[in-house]
Amino acid sequence: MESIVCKKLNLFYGDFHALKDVSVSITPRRITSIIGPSGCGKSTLLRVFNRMNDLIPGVSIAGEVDVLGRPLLGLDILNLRRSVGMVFQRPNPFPFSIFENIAYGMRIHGNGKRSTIDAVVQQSLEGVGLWNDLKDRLKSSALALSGEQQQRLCIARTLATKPQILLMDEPCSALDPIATAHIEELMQDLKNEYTIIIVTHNMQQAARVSEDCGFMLLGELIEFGKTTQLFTAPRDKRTEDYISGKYG
Amino acid sequence: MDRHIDHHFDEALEVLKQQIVLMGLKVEEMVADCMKALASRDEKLAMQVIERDRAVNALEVSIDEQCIELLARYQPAATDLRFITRGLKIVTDLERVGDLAVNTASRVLDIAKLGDAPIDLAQMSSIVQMMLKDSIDAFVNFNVAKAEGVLKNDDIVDDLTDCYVGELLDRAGKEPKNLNRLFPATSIVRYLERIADHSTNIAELAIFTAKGRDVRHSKPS
Repeated sequence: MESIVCKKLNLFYGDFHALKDVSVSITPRRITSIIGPSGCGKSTLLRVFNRMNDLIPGVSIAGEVDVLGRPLLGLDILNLRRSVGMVFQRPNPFPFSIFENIAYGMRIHGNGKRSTIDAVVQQSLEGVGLWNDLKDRLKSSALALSGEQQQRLCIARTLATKPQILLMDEPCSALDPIATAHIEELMQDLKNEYTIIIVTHNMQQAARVSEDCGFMLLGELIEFGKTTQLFTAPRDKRTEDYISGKYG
Repeated sequence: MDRHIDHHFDEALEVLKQQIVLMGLKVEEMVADCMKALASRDEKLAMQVIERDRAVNALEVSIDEQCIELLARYQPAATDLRFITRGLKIVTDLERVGDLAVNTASRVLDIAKLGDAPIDLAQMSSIVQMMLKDSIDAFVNFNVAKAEGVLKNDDIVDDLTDCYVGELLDRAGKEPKNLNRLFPATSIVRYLERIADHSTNIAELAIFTAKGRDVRHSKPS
């Protein structure tokens, strides 16, 4: 079963047509990247998958979106966001301790047993490679961590609710190249258990980390396919021009 | 072709293209001069061909360096990536063509010391030279039709090779006094055939560069 299937998805912000007839299938336990220039709709598409756009006034959506085999609009929103986690451009830890950053999501999802929380905090931090560094200072403020550690913590916070899909919106754009490499390595480890969709401006990053890649332009998904194919022999001239840095 | 937003990349690609064209011209001239030297028993021209190989080798190194620099600096994609990576391979073929021209020139000298060319290779050499020129043109101008024409000619060259080698070996049996000119001529035929093979390689790489379609080893056996 595909993790996400979109058919003829259209999204409007008021009169602005932000997504135009987008149809795509996201394969489980792979990394799928979405690339395209600013304003092309890639973040909007990502935010459809866990209904982050719902709160924006004037948004209307048409078309079919199935997440994990069920229609998006039929899913309970809390369950949806437990299954579909999101990591944002800037690391955004809560102004709590490292421990509480991870425990918080479990508590609001109603799983407050201390022994369970302890175990999940450890598993989540191990999952992102932070446990050994942070296990002795779990009560320290998360805001004191480096940018890379904060972003790892945010990923760990998402993992704590046992999602099946991870949405990543420019997860490395605020990080230096070394931290970026560490997050990319982490993504490769995580894809064995999670479906990852990453939106990025960094085409080399998309080429490095993803197996599948989509190119969006002006709200349309112009081309979608294997990343190697898209970067070596794209089918559409608009894709070729974008990834080659050419004038259209 | 559309221009890149970074015009420095366009300029660097143009320099690379011109260098590949220049290397192609040099080896084309070497092959052509070998055949002129053979036909006119011109030892001086054959010696010049041998001397010119150093410039071809230097171009190979220079083009290699340019390709690596472009890959490192611009992280090209799509057609640009195919052009640069295939360029790296094509210069190896061109360098080998230069070496084969040197070998041919040496055999021309062997023959010229003893007498005239024992066979007229004008037909074969004209096809081979055209294949070489067309393959390089096809690569730098993304011309698939021209590249496909080169692939078709390879079969003709193979047939001519069999024909000429058969004739030369047959005469070797009958004209023992001419062995020292017939055997070098056989080698020249073999060298021309290998130049055609390198041209075929270049044409296959040209098709990949233009269309992203790998046609190597796809010929039915």
